[in-house]
Amino acid sequence: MAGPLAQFEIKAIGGEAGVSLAEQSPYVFTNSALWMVITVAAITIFMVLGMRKREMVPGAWQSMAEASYEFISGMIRDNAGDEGRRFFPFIFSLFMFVLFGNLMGLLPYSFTFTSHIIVTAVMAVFVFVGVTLVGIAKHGLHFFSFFVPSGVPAFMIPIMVPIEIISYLSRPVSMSIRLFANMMAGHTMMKVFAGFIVPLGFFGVAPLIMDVALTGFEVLVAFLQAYVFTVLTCLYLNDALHLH
Amino acid sequence: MAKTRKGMMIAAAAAAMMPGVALAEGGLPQLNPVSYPTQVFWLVVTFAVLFLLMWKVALPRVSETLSNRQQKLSGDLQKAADLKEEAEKAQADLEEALASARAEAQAVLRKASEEIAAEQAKRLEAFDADMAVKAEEAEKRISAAREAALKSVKDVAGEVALAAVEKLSGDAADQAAVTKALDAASKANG
Repeated sequence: MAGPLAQFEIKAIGGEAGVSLAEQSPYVFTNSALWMVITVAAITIFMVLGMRKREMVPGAWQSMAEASYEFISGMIRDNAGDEGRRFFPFIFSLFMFVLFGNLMGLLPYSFTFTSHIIVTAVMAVFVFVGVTLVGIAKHGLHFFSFFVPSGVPAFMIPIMVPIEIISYLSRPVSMSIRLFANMMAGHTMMKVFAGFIVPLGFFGVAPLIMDVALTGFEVLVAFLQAYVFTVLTCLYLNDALHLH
Repeated sequence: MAKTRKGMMIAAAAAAMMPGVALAEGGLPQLNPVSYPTQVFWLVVTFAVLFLLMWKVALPRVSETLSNRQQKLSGDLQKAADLKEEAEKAQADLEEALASARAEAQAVLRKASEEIAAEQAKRLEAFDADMAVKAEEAEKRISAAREAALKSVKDVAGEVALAAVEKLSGDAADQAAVTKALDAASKANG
C-alpha cells in the first residue's frame, strides 16, 4: 500500500519510458503540470462560461463568477487602496490559481501542486520581487526609508534596520511555507487516517468518519490559505505603494 | 544503501505503530530538487496563460456586466426619482386646483347667501310697507264705521226719544228740541 507521502510524488507523464524523473527532460510534463493545466482550464471555464450570457439578473453560476470578482476587488480596495487596482488581474489570477489548486487537490487521485514548496516559493518570490520593484518604481530610493521605522530614537536605528530588513526578507519564506505546509499536512493526515480504514475492519468506521470530517476541514483550509496568500500579497503591495 | 536501510527501518517502525501504513522511501518528495525544474517551468507557463486569459478575456466580461448593471440600476433609480417628482408635482397641482375650487365655491355660496338676505330684507320691507298701508286703511274704515254707527245711534235715539215723547205726552215732540237734547247727552257721554 502506498504511504501517506506517496501522493506528493512527481511522476512524469509521456516522457521517456522506464526512466526516472532525474533523467527526464527538465520540461517534462508531470502529474503536477497536468493539474496546473486542469486548474487553469477549470478557472477559465468557471469565469468565461459563467459570464457567457452576461445577464442583468445573474443566475447561480454567473453570481459565483461575479462574487469571486467582487471578492478580490473588495480585498484590493480594502487592503491596498485604489492604487492597487492596477494589479487586479494578477492578484485575481493568483487567488484563483491557489484556490482552485487547493480545492482540486482534494479530489481523489488528483495531485495538489500547492503542496510543493517549490511551487509556493516561486509564487511567493515572484510576489516579493514584484512588490519590491513596484515600491522602488513608485518611490525611488526613498523606498528604502521603509526599513527605518519612524519615531525611533537615533541610537536604536542600527538595531532596528537589520531587524526590519530581516523581517522584510522573511516575507516570501513565511508565505510559501505557510501554504505548502498547510496543504501537505492536511493531505498527509487524510492519507494516514485513510490507511487505517481497511486494516481495522469494522472499527475502520472511526477513521472513515474522521476522514469525512477532515475533508470538510480541508475545504475550509483550501479557502483560508488561498485567502491568506492573497491578502498578504495585497498588504505587501500596500506597503510598497504607501510605505509606512 | 545505508539510506535505504534507514528508510526501511523508519517504515518498519511506522508500520509497527500504525498497521497498514508505510512511509514513502527517500524522504519528502517536496524536498527532491530533481522535480524543481519541471515544476517551475510548468508553473510559469500555466500561470502566465491563466493571467492572460483572466486579464484579456474573463475579467473584462465581468467588469463590463457589472458596470452595465450599475448603469441600468442608476438609470432606473433616476427614472424612478423623476417619476416621483412628477407625481409630487401632479399632487401639488391637484391640491392647488382643489383649494381654488373650494375658495370659488365658498365665494359663490357667500354671494348667494348675501343675495338671499338682501332679497329677504327687501321683501320684508315691502311687506311691512304694504301692511302699514292696509292697517291705515282699516283704521280709516273702522273710524268711519264707528262714526256712522254713532250717527245712526243718535238718529235711532232721536227716533226713540220722539216716539217715547209722543207715547208719553200724546202729542208730537219738537224735533229740534230732541236733537238738542241728544247732542248734549252725547257730549256728556263723550
